[in-house]
Amino acid sequence: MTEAVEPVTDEGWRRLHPLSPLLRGGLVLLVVGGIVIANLRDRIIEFLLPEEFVGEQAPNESDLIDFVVDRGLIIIALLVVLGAILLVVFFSWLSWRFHTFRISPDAVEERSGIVFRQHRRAPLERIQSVNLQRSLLARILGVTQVDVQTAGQGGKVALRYLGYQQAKEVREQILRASARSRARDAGSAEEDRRVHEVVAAEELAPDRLTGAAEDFARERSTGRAETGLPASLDRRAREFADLDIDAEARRAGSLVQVPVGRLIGSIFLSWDLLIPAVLLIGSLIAGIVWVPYAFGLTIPMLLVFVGMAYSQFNRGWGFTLSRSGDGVRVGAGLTATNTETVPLGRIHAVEARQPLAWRPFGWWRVRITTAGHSVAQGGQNRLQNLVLPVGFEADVLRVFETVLPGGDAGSDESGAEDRASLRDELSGAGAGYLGAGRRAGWVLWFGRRRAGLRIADAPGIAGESGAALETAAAEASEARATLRIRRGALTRSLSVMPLVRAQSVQLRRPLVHRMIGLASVQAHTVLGPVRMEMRGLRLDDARGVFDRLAAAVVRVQADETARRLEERERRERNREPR
Amino acid sequence: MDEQGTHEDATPAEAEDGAPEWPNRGTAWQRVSPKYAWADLALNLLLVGIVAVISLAILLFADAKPPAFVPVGMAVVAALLLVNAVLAFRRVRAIGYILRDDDLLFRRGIMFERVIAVPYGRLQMVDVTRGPLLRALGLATLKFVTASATTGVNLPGLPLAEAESLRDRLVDLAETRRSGL
Repeated sequence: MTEAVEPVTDEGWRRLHPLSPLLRGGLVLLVVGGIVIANLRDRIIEFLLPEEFVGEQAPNESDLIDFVVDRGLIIIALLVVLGAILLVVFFSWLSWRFHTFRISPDAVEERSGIVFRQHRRAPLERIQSVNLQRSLLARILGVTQVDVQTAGQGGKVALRYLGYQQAKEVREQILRASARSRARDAGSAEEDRRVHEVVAAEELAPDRLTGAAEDFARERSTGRAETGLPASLDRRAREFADLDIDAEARRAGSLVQVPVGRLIGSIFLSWDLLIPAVLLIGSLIAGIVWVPYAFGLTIPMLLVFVGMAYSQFNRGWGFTLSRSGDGVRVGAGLTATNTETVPLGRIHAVEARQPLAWRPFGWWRVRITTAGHSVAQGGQNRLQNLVLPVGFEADVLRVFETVLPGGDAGSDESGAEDRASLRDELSGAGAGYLGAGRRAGWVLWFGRRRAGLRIADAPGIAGESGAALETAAAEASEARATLRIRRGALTRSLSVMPLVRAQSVQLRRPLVHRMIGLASVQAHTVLGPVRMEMRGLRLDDARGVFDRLAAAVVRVQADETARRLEERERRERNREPR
Repeated sequence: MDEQGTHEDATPAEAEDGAPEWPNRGTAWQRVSPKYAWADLALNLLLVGIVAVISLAILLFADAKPPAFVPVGMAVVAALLLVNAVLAFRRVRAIGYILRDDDLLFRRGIMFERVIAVPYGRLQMVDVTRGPLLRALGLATLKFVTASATTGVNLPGLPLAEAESLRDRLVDLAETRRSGL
């Protein structure tokens, strides 16, 4: 079986994997099979076991099979069944024939349907992430679902299914095309450079794809040499277990992983499980010493408990995070796996959290907000914005560096400085933070001590608004200026949002805040798990912060826009002489 | 911006007359039409009416005599809603906006005061909507949409012509300062 990407038309439309209809119809097939088996169960038992085990049975008048056999219609019945199967196969084949996709210069497109044609389109410059999803069945069959997430409501192109190898190639192509289109339209110098590198690499080795496909190219060549069954089985097994880590990232060692022991420990020590565990023990004790009815609560609680533990375990198993050429790649999953690749610069906020019971071990969890995700996309297979299920401080630092723009731009010296300050922010005193007001204990409880806010690396705001900074400096400030908020007592957290991504800034005075002279400042981001709000600030402080933040946001975003325009103009000037 | 930290706290009296010096720094807030208060009042009175009718129906048609706290509770709820309705004028006066150089500053609320700054580049959509009530008064509501669902800024009760010119102006501003998501 060859998995080469073969265009079916001259416009670059390609077909999906031939097994796709089977898998897409998999659920229906299972249901039908289930009904058939349930109906035939008695008959099969009767057939397999001697009479005395089954016992006397009243003849079932309404049994369809008896009816068919009695009337001698068995041949016709079989023909009907065969015809139905052929019809289903034919229509599946037809729908497969008509289901195509392509990566055009400005969008990923999908066409399907015979009578009712459907055309879905994901514009390249709006792509937020590209995910490879493999359910257990899909993994066994060696196929993969490719999800292309875009910003906005319901914007998603799902290619179900492609061969695993092909899926990886398609992902690379989409990400590359997306980076190129962004560089063309409004991209940064960095992206531009990266695209040029990729293009150069392509020109050097035209038939070889970058990064991920590399190690498979090798395997494919060996597989082709033998073309025996064992070779393809071996490849299938290797695909099944493949963690989908970027080859370059593996070489460079820029990789974050989570060992199983730590994962299990972290799951049982998180609030999500500690609270049900306490309730469970409570109901057990109540059942023993008080009323036996309390045992009735135990079983559903146990189910909830086990279910939650398992789903977390499943999500965190084999977790890897790496920086691939154009983005951050996160993968995990025990039975079903999901690998998500988020292009750089699409991350709107990052948050590290540490539940109380994790503190002795120094563990943290990191989540992100990206524009592509919405609450509607539940599903157990989603990583749900997790970029680190559990890790030490060093891992958190690495993740922050990977995920935040400009994190790795600085030299080693400034990098070490950044790391030290980030460490202080995570679990230290939080130097330079503006703390909560004196009476904020009323609204923040024990969290008052840690609560704090800082606008980091913001460009000069006051007088110099007219004087344009040098491009390089502006770029650095644009990438690095962040709003940072520390919070919590029972669960400590540090949230960071690049100012370029802020949608609006809000100052709020709810009733209790108002009564004791406090206010709350919030920066709005796109929908996601990270909430950039600092409550319990003194009113004066809050107003000052609001002014500074609003000004900094406007400034940083204006810089970004100006720089983009300039880039575009420069590129156009360069293009003309050629 | 250290001088911002030193200015006096806005006293309730200042907040009452709707012109605190923060954050507008002397620029007057643009107000929405006072006529909008009547629409607000009408809607709230409608709510009071509905609650009153339901409570009366319950009291009249109940088989057994309800315990004393039920009618008392209903009366309290109705009274609170009535106060809320009468505050309509005050509430509408608290709505204000300023078009600053680079962002739209917006405020509303007396009890739950909110001040929001939206950079023009972040405005994705500006909508003019008119319900039947507002149309009768010749008003319109201006809705602002950013990529964040929580921004939630809308400016109710602008005269139609003003709403439309404001929309055009904001769309222009947003267009020239558009930044990526």
